[in-house]
Amino acid sequence: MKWTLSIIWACYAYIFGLIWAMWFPGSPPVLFGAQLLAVLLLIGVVGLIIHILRAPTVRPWGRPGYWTCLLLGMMAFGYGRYHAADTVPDRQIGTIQLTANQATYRERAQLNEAHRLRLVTHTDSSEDVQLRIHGTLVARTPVQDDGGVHRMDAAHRWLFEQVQVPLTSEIITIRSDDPAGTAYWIDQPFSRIEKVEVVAGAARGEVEVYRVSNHIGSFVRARDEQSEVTVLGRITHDPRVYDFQTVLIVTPTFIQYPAGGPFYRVDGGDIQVTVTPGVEGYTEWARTAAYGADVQIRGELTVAGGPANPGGFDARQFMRNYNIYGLMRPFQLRGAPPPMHPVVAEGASETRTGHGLVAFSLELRDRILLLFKATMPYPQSAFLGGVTLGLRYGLQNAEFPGAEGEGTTWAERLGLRPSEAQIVDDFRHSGVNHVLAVSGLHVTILTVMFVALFTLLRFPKQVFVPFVIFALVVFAIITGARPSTLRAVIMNSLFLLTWGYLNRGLLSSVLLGVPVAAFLILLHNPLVVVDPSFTLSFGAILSLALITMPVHELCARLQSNRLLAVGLWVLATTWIGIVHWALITTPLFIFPWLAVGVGLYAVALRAEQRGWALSTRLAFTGLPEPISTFIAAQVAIQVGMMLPLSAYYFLRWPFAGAYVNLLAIPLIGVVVQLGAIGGLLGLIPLVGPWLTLLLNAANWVFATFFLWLAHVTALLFPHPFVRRPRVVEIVVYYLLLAAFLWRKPLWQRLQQFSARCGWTSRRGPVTLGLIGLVLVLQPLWIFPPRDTREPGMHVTVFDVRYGSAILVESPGGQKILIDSGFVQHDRGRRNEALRTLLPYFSHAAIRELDGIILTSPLPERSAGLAYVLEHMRVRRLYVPSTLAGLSPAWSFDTFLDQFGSPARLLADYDEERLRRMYHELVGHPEWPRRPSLAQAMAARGDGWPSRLSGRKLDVQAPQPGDVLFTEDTSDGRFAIEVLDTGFTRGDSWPIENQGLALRIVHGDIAVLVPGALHYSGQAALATTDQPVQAQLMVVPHQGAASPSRAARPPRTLVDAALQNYSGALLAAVEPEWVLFEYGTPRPVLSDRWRTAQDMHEFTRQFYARQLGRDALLSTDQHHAIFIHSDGIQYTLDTQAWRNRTARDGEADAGSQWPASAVRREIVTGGFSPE
Amino acid sequence: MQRGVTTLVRILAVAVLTGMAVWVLHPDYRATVGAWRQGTPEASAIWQSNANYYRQVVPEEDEVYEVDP
Repeated sequence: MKWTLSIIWACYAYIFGLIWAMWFPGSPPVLFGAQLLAVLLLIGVVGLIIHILRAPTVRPWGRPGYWTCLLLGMMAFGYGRYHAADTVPDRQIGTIQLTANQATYRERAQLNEAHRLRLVTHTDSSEDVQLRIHGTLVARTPVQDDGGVHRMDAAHRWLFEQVQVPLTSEIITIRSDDPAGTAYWIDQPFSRIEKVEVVAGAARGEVEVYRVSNHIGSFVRARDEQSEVTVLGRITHDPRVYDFQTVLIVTPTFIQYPAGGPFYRVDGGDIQVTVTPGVEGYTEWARTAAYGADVQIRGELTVAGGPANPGGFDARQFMRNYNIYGLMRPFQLRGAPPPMHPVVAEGASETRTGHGLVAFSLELRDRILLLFKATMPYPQSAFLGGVTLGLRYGLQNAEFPGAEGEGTTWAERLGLRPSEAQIVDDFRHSGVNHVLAVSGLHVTILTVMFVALFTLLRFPKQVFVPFVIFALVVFAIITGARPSTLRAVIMNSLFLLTWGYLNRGLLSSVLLGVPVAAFLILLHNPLVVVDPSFTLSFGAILSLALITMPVHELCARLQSNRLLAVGLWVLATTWIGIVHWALITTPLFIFPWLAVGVGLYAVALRAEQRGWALSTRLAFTGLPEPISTFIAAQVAIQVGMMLPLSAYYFLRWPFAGAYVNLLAIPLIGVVVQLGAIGGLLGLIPLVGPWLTLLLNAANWVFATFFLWLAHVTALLFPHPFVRRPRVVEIVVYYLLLAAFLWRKPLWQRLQQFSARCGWTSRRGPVTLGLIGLVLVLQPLWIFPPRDTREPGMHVTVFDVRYGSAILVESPGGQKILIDSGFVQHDRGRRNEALRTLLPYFSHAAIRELDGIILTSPLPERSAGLAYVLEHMRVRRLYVPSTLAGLSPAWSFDTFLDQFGSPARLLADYDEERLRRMYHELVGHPEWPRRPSLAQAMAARGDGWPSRLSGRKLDVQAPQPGDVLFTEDTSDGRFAIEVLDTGFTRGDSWPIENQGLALRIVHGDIAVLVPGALHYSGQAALATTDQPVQAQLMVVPHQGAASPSRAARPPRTLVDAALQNYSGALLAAVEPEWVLFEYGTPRPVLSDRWRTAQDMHEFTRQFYARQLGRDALLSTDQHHAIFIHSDGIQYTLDTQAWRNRTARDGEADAGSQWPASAVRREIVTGGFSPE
Repeated sequence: MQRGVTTLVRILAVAVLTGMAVWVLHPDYRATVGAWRQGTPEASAIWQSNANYYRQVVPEEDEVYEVDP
């Protein structure tokens, strides 16, 4: 029996069970069944092991039985473990038997703590019945000091006085029309149930009584339902200290819910507490020593937001993966006691510290960081702190040295135009971001360094191996114990142990270490199984272990002419990718280009055969072995991890990474080793800091070179968005990769099988191989990419905060984007095109837009357009007539001339806003690399690369009355109509009115998109001869137009404008719903954001008065809004509702509480304008 | 493993030589060496450039640091 093989397969079976649980979640009984099955099968495994070890001959069923029990048992174990970590099921504690007008409570389990209750009907009720529960509560009264701070005893137990009080619940009404299985929540906590009373009604049936879990997730509420709580807990992670706030992870022990209510003992889950400098005693928390402190926090406990747009980042799920279920942001009221208190136990003089080893590690980290700050200038020090100590947040907002107006940067000296990108952007674009996410690479570098140091000092390996493992554990703690670091520490420790004490090789350690490390990490936290840091880390190590050698073998064939041919082709492809990436993704180009590569290789080979060969010393194998292996390893990582997984997780592929890492990885090896040695030497008194200064002076050179490398390659190489592969495509990709890796044994098996079948010729295994290939590719045909949505027109109003971006998908499949959101270039740096639109297009496999309509030149609508054009194929672009002929050569004055008299414009608008508009549309003189619409249009000229790659842009300025993108479908006509806003060139209209207003029509359904129209434009639109009626209307100008330039226009003036102009439009359109595109206007409007906020509130009140509050949807509350029309009826949905439905109605996270909060808000309606 | 030892020794040797060259050539490092010798490391240009980088991590005698409200 090969026990190693058993361990490996058992670990993989466990992981498979986790993935199974993720895809096919089960109910609590299924979960219980899985756990029971796991226990029984694993007991069976133990029995079979004993049988195999003891019996002289193993029975025929022994080994198959062993493997079956082992694999199924581990799968069941994984399945149950995932669910146990993902949810905390409420537990049934009894049943209520209803007979006539009596209720009998049968207890199945006692309540040993204060718990809220949930009743679930087991059978349909024949008539309404009202119940009331009688019982007791052991209420906790906190023991507090004079300042109102809870006290702890010397053993760090929170002190309470307990009082037993009788308790009667509110009346619970079980309605006869509620189906069996309906749940009713009882908000009062009980410690014991004594009896159940029927208050009214006479029904028969059974009601199950559950205790609601006291997991912290069950106390969390959505932002609109939150209430104040008090949490007593302990800081259990290293505080993350930023310039402007500190983030603490607190493990709660007790929670008072709600304010003034009872104290519950918390069952599990952590919360994230964000403290700002305005909170009294902030410095107590903004330091490493806060780790381990007991704390009392008062504030609102909310839930992290789900995605705001389809395919967006799900902060809630991300936090859950790390056991964080709630958010608190304590708020300091003026004159009030601080909302956070450190709590000191009786007899102690200060708050307690955390785990000794962790506290030691963090202390060590701070001392080394102090040395870095003293011995290396910023931002190189921040880079060193990031890669050596895992302090990557220190690089936030850091710019490449010299980028901030300190003269010509090095990149500029190379002829590269200056870029606004920060160092983290450079790293992301150039594909070296992994060095900041401290990973296996760093652990391996340190392992090699420590082993080399000890070997240098002539220590025997049996002696130093434990010390090295200890150092790696400390390093993992210092860097935050991310899954990637843990993986590497476990694997390196296994390797060190097997190397130190068993003399085993590296490969056997990898094959065993990978699954064991994965198992240990996922046993602790199964939810990280699809977390990028986990998946990418294991993808990288498996790629290195399995793909490097096959790649090396392939490359070893490259010599003489063939090496030259392949090298030239790769260089040429790289150059094409740099200057015109779109060609690489154009089938019309890339397939002929691949044929050119194959042809070139064939010619080179033929020439060699004829004796026209370059020297055979020109060969891949002629490189020094470490270099050739390293190159093969880099190719292996690209093939095995980056290509499929980077596209899946990040929707982008860092083209530069394949090249830059050839230099960056050896360089980071030097930087980390020097940083670590320098940091440790610096701890030696007196002479130590001088040695650190010396080594870090050298490291400054290497760090600067690294930053420069990332900066320059980020400027040179594109960072394209790619289509997100589907899971089935990734599976097929890896199956094909596996077939390539194991092609030789596979071929042998096919030959053996063919021979057994009597097929002696070569055709047999080839045919079998082809059949196998077809089978592997089958899933692509069985599960084709499908739009599972209903046929018809789909309109998505994206949540892009203050601004607009709307995607229209016609019944015939045309995709039209209307506006493209805002781009914030300064603090915050939020680019809605890169953050929302392009990820959505990648997510939804949209690689081409049939058209973009820009309704207004205002930056909140136009700024993202240049980025969309840079990354997408777009057939037609419609712009307002004022932007026809837009050119990068326009001066600011020429630009202003398009909209009227420059003097009038400068009098009516803030110059900053006009300049910002100019920068987004024409270009920024100081930042010529910043994409602008004019540059994007110029770059999509008539050249053959643009024509071949489908990037030639047809720009038009539509006129009122034009109809765009028409389609005649069986559901009725689809069209986008351009409406008349009364504007003609030369008018002294506000810029807001010099845009486009659109009406999207599908059959009987219409959506009005009036763009950024100001009040006068709204009134003009209301009186146009064209039909403007629509069931759904997007509120013009984000609902924040101001009738005057005053900072606070009088309310009467605003109301009059709304009544006269917006009211007229409303009367003309007769909408059933109005949709607000809104978010904080602060980044867009600078000083005038408060005015816009007030105007928006007044506008919202106006529309609520006119249509009722229920007819309003807003992206700041509901996130993205989805409209579907079948030509007769329409359906409205929002991302906020989808987020709730996705979690079975949970607004919270950790338990089944409170599904009753769900309202079914998807509405249908429809009307004919006639 | 012998290769790792040789590499490390080479890296350290190159680092020492490069470090000394940087001390001589780079004005900030020259000034920092001077400030350290005078016992005023907080006056060095390097320390100053890191003033806003992890502001809470300071020598023990300067534990209390200012926070903008």
